[in-house]
Amino acid sequence: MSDEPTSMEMAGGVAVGLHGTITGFNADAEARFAKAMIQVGEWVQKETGCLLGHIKSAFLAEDGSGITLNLTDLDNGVEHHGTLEPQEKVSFDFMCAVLDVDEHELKHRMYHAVDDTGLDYELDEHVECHCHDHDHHHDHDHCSCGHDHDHHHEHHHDHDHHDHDHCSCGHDHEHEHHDDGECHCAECEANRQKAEKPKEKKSFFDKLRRKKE
Amino acid sequence: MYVYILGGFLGSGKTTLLMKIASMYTRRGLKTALVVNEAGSIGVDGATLKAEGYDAIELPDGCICCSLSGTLQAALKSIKKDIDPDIIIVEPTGLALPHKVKDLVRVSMIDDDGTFIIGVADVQRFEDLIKKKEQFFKMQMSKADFILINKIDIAKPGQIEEISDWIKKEYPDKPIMAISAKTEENLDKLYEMMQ
Repeated sequence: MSDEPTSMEMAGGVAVGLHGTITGFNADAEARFAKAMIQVGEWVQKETGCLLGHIKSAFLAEDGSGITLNLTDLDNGVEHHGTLEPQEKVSFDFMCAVLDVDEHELKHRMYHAVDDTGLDYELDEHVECHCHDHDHHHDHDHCSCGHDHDHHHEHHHDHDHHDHDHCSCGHDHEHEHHDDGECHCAECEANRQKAEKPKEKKSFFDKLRRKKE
Repeated sequence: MYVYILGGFLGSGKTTLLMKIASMYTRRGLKTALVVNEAGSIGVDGATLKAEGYDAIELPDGCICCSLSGTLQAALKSIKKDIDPDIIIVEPTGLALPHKVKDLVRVSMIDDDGTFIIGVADVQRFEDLIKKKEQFFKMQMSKADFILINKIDIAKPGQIEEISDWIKKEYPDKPIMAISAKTEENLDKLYEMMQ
């Protein structure tokens, strides 16, 4: 092997791909995925000042027919090539080749962008992500801290929280909740207790007790 | 058999141009083989080409000018043996150095009548690219036989002249042409220059 840097290294380029399947593919899913691509493009632009590179995805039905989406410029938006009738299942490829960003961080962003689409998807490979230590990460419907905000987006996507210096949820507390996936500040504990109370009342034993009473 | 290598940065419109050139050659009744290379492990350009009705040989997961150089040579030999086309159009990744690809074609012993590099510059992001990766862009264009300024359909007033002046200053001997692969503006002039 030559020690000469590859052209990709010379350019400072990174290329990352995700492959998987989507169940229930239609125009809405296509639009959601286009949004995910823009989400990644916006992140690259924020990181590097401009989107130099391309973000592409392809969706293929079992018979080999498919469509592709291509994003090279955020102002122009996502270009769609081909048409695809609604499908029960499609395989998808999601690829980014851009400059001057961290490869792992890019993959992480891509993964979350796909996750945020709300589509019923499966990836062929497991994507390593610290966010996934959290119980509420896989279920984007609720958050154990009980705050009225998009909590998973704030403290999962913000890698600063791994430093344990600060928490983007805005509370004045130590960030212990990363150890067990929950936030233990006074406000969160109070909210959690409040949230847990109605659950107790609804338990089978409570109903039985109330009947006996 | 002639080989054309489309060299240019990521997102400069190489795939769109590839499709237009392939269509032109098909209309002329020439047998054309397409080779597309992508840096990522996942190849999407092949699917784009398929969606638009083209068949291409995909070489993903690396760069044909370096890490996939052997794969390219093997692919070219197979194409020559199995298809024996009149034209081969190679689209390396936007992070490749086209002159290295040309060298690899030469040593592949596919008995070509000529190999040409078409350099593709992108109106839209030219300024950003020069600002950030001028050296790399220059390396990509350095051995181009002619340079295309693509995406003129979305150019701002004065932008084409500005880019053209910059390229002329750097490469005074190279023919330059402003085109839009998407709207096909000036593509007829490009076709006249091709074999």
